[in-house]
Amino acid sequence: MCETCGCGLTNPNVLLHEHEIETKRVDLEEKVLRHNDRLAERNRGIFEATQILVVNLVSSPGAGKTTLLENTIRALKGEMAIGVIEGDQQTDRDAKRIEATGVDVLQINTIDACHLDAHMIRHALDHFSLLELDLLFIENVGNLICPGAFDLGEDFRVVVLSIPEGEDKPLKYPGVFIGSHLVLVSKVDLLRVLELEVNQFFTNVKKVHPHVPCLSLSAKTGEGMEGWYSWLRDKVKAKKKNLNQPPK
Amino acid sequence: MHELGIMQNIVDTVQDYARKNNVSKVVKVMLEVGQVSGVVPESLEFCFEVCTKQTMLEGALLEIERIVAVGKCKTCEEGFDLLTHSFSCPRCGGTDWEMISGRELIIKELEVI
Ligand SMILES: Nc1nc2c(ncn2[C@@H]2O[C@H](COP(=O)(O)OP(=O)(O)O)[C@@H](O)[C@H]2O)c(=O)[nH]1
Ligand SMILES: [Mg+2]
Ligand SMILES: [Zn+2]
Repeated sequence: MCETCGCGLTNPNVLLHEHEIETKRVDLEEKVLRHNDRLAERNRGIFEATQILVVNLVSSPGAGKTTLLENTIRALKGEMAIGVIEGDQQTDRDAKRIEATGVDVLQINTIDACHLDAHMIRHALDHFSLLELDLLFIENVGNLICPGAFDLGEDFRVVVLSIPEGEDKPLKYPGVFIGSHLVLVSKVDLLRVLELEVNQFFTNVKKVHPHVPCLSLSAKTGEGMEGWYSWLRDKVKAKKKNLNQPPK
Repeated sequence: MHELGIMQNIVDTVQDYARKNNVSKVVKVMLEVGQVSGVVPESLEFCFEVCTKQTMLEGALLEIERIVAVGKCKTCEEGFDLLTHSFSCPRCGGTDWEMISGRELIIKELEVI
């Protein structure tokens, strides 16, 4: 029964029928993800204090993030202390692969969620000896849409775009590219077989994000990996001196 | 598909506001969703009913305003719809621009009793 007048209507959709209840409009202007943003700022504070460079790797599933990390860790672990947070909906397969490289890794299984959020990262940090780390990689859940909206407190969001995905990906999914600080075009060893040019990829990335730096590489053949390593070395050094520009 | 989580965030925020401001019922929620925010309005609508069950938002209307992705040309200052014009300025052909809007995800307004 309708609470207001006792008429027989029960559906709340018609709560406002003829009774003309006064409603009030209020401006809220509240960011939907304000809670995540606040936690991300806190994470950023922790990374500032501990001078850890944090890189959030985002891509479609299978673009080569874990392979890239395995090779990067093997190449750089002699000169810096590296940690990895692995985000996957299920399984700890990727964490096992990283563990085999000998660095500290923590797996987060997001189950239903298709992205990591700042809250998950905050808890994951308890697993690491932060004061000993120089570089923390976060491998986000393979997904080219959802992770774009969630700030984790990272210094750099790096999008990995692999050659077999095709050069039109940035145009189809501009959101995550627009929010990135570096784009790695991966699996360039496949350019020849697929009869593609790496410049087609760069052009489309720059179309949706005009000034973003782009590198191309192949974790398989090693081509271009040195450029990525130099980028990381520079940023780790800059973080120690507090020289990195805050993102955005 | 992260719209369920996003919608849960929205419902929590609105309930939080309602509790603090002695609101007994929310009858309308107005959102602004940017074209490149990574959120699909149709999915949000789909999740709204589920997430508002047995809350003071139950039965409320959801209104979503889609915010166009707009860039401002750095060459000629023209503002233009990025997606329609494939990211290049329709006036001068410039491909260097600054993003003005399109990434919003905002609870804009409520109508309450
Ligand atoms: N041809 C080629 N294949 C690669 C390269 N890097 C990774 N892969 C393959 O791509 C698949 C997915 O790689 P993975 O690192 O698990 O991707 P992730 O899902 O982004 O972590 C695997 O079969 C890898 O062997 C590369 O540089 N070249
Ligand atoms: Mg992986
Ligand atoms: Zn122009």
